[in-house]
Amino acid sequence: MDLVIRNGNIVDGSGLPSYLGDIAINDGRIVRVGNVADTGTTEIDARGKIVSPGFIDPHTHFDAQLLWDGAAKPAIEHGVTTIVPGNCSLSLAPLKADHRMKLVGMFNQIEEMPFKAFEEGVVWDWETFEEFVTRIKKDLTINVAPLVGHSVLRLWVMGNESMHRTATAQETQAMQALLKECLDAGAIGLSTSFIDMDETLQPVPSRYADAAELDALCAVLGQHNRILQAVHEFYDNDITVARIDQLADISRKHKITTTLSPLFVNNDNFAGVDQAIARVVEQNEAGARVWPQVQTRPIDISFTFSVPSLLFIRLRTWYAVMRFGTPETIMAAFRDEAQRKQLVAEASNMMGLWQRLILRQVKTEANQQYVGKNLAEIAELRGTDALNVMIDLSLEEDLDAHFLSADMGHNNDEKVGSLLRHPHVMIGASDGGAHILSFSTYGDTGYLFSRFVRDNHSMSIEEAVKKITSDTADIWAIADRGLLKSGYIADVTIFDADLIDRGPEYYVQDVPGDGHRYVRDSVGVETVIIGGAVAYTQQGGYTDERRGEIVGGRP
Amino acid sequence: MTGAKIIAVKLSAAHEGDAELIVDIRYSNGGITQVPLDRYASEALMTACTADTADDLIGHGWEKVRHALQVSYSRY
Repeated sequence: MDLVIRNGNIVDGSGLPSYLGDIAINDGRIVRVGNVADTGTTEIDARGKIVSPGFIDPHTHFDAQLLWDGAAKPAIEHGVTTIVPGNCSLSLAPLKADHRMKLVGMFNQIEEMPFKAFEEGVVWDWETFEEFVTRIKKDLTINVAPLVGHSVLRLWVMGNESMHRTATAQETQAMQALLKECLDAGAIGLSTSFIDMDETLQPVPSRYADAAELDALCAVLGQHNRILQAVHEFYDNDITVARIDQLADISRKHKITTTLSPLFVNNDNFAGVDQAIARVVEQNEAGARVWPQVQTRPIDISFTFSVPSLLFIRLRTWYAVMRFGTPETIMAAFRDEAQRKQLVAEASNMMGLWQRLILRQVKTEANQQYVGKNLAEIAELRGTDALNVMIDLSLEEDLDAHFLSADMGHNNDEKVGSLLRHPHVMIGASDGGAHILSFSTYGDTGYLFSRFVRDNHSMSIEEAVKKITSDTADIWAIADRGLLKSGYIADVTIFDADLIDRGPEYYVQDVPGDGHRYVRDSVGVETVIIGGAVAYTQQGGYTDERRGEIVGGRP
Repeated sequence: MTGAKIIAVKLSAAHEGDAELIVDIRYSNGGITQVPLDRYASEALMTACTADTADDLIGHGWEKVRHALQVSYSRY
């Protein structure tokens, strides 16, 4: 055997109770689960640890990163072995040379991927989907199930007209042929968006499509048994329900799976989310396949005083200073003794909020020591209170001090937990690789286990593993992955159930062109195996193995 | 829609990590809906209602919310 994992607590992805056993792996596939008598060239002692299928992340934007980082770091160290990029109507192929900068602009707007990263990290040596897939396959550690974006299909066929009008019958036929070509080259499905905007704050091309165009493209998906992903108007309950109905009709007509993402639950929209889920159940019971995606992590609010934030809209004096102020007048107000006294007095009854704020980012060297600390901690070090520290730091940084208020939305554990566990909900929507300058999109799987399995007992570990392995593989028609079963491809994650978590968020410079992003390290993930080879260990980090594959849909 | 009014305002967290304002509107038939407003729409609504604080928005009519949304959309 190439590899034998011994004495692990096997959670096989089926949802059935865990059991003690060994796993034998040969030629990249699992050949035995249970008692393994043969010895392995490599042996891993998993005593006391959970051995599960590798996690599948169905909503990512790692498209660009895969061009310089075939491991999509730090996804793998969080136990993720398969990612789905190309969501929200945006993929990097098919793409004509003339449209490259347009797409870079869209990626910059939607994913916050810097222009410089494309300049310094990307050799543009592809146009077709097949050429792109061939390009990223050269150095792939993680498995990639790529969606093709509706906006780029339009851009290819219609050029700049894709951003102004509906398609003609001939153009729709050309898009159908192009989509077929992409599916044949390994695309797992099609993504579209009803809400995203490009770098000029105009609707992305997919938003100019009429229902007939989307229907025609879904007919092609039906012929290939592939999935449609859509970003819907998630901020509006009524339109969300209408989109569920639209996707259900498409699903039944073309016999395809559809998924919409994201679905958030805040304290003020329980009823709206309940209504959406009830409609999903109703439609699915009537033969549709509509899967809403729900993320595990809460939403944080970040702000600086250089850009007005609604966080202060209930504070009359603060809001007046910021709403009508320039950076100079805001700083003048903070410096003026009388105004400052008034501001502090008005906000002092919310001291609990200010104390919990975390200082995320500063530009001066002197204040770097405080980054990552909350304002209560910094206030103690400086001998003052949190509110005054927030003002002082903002002044010292010329208003460029970045603060974060954690857990401000999607943070009702009971409600989120019940959604994550719901049989008609897919766990996803991590957005891995997107919003890189705003917050970390990594570690949602660790958070699932730490928060909803270990802390809140919203679901068992078997249920949680099933949700992010075999359920995801089934929904996306990913063959031979998602279970620890003889004959399946050996994507395996070994972790400590008592420790697994997401680490703290931090800012790092690791994007080409000296670019930065927010990331989180993993906690408690010991070994990740992809395609039968060890891709990551907690002790040794990433290995040189490159067993990642392009994962197309099951025919 | 005549008579529909803002009956409550709440702060919420938008997907991108910004704060947004949610206004509850009650219609004359008793139905209630929620409308999320980004920073631009919120500022337009505050101006239209001559509000100094979010709570001053309560009692104003739905047409001001519609106007605020148009202001936000129209900036593109």
